[in-house]
Amino acid sequence: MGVYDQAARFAAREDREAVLRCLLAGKGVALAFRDWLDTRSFPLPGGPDRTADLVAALDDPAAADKPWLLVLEFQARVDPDKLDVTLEEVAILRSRVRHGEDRKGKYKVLAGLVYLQGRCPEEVLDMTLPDGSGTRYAPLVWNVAADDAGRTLEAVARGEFSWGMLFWVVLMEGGGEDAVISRWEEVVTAMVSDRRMRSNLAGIALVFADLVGRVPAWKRGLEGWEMTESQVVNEWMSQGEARGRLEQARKSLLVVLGKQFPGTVPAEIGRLINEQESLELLDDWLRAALDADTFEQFLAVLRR
Amino acid sequence: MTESQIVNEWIRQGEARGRLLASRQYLRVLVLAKFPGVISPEILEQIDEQESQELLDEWFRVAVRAFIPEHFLAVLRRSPSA
Repeated sequence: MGVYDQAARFAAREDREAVLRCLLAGKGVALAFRDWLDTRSFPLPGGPDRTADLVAALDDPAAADKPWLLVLEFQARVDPDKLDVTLEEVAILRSRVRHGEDRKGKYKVLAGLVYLQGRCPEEVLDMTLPDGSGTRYAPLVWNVAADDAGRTLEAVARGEFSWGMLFWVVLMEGGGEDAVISRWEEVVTAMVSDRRMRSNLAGIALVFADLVGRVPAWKRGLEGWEMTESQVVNEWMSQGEARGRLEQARKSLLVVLGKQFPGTVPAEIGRLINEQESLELLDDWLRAALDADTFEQFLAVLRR
Repeated sequence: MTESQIVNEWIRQGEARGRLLASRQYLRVLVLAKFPGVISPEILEQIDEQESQELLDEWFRVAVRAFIPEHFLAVLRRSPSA
């Protein structure tokens, strides 16, 4: 999964109301979020590891016994096959997932496509005959770039939109303007009291700014903002930290071996060390290299 | 690396920190194994507080080559943070 999808998933999970409101705007129904559905047990198109970005279970207050599933897909780039793929996902969830105490009830299933940039090129897949029979697939679509950043900020400030809209403002029309960025900071400070969540908002804003070429303005605007409390930023830093530790462990071991047993370390052992992904094992090997009197003693540990 | 320069920057910051932490850890392991009973808590503290990757790499190479602890300790004393 790409980093923009990751960022979008994070934002949607942190405040699902924001995304739901945008997707359902003008649809004449107020579906209420109940839970996220774990889709790992349902094979989806694209292979066994493929999962939908997010699937939400929703309740219809007007028909409590007829719940919905909403398949959420975030699009960082336009994918011409997206309607086909999500139609398959919708069909799989419709045929395999059940609700109710007896697990016999079938969900009504919708797809929601969130375009992080650009516009959905084709919003309806129409495979109907002139009399209307056939298949018509019309997912919910939110083209984030079509929304106005300034108006959205004011709606959040007035409490008309939920705070989670602040994640998406950078992607909206006008989202790269200095005045909008300043106002964004004011609204975040006023509406979001949790420091960690403010960090998350700033981190996601920078990632989204990268997607739409607005990094210089947002970096300037967010100068002085603390990112180190953000879970989402720290997750990426931790990935880097693990990689850095591994690189250093390999390098240190090779330096020790080169000094302890000059000219005796075969290339294949060097390769084996450079391909080792277990930090624990590399730590053990370093200690073994320091303890060994001969290269054979070290090799014996390596073979174990 | 990822498609985002911003995320790549965070990953690189993480990598640098990972290298620094591992360098300190392995240097401690090395000198404690090689010079048992000689390395004082102050020396270990100096290693743990060193922020320069270049210097830690140099200390490691010196410690590996040193036949006696004084060779290593002399380099440590000459370094900027000593």
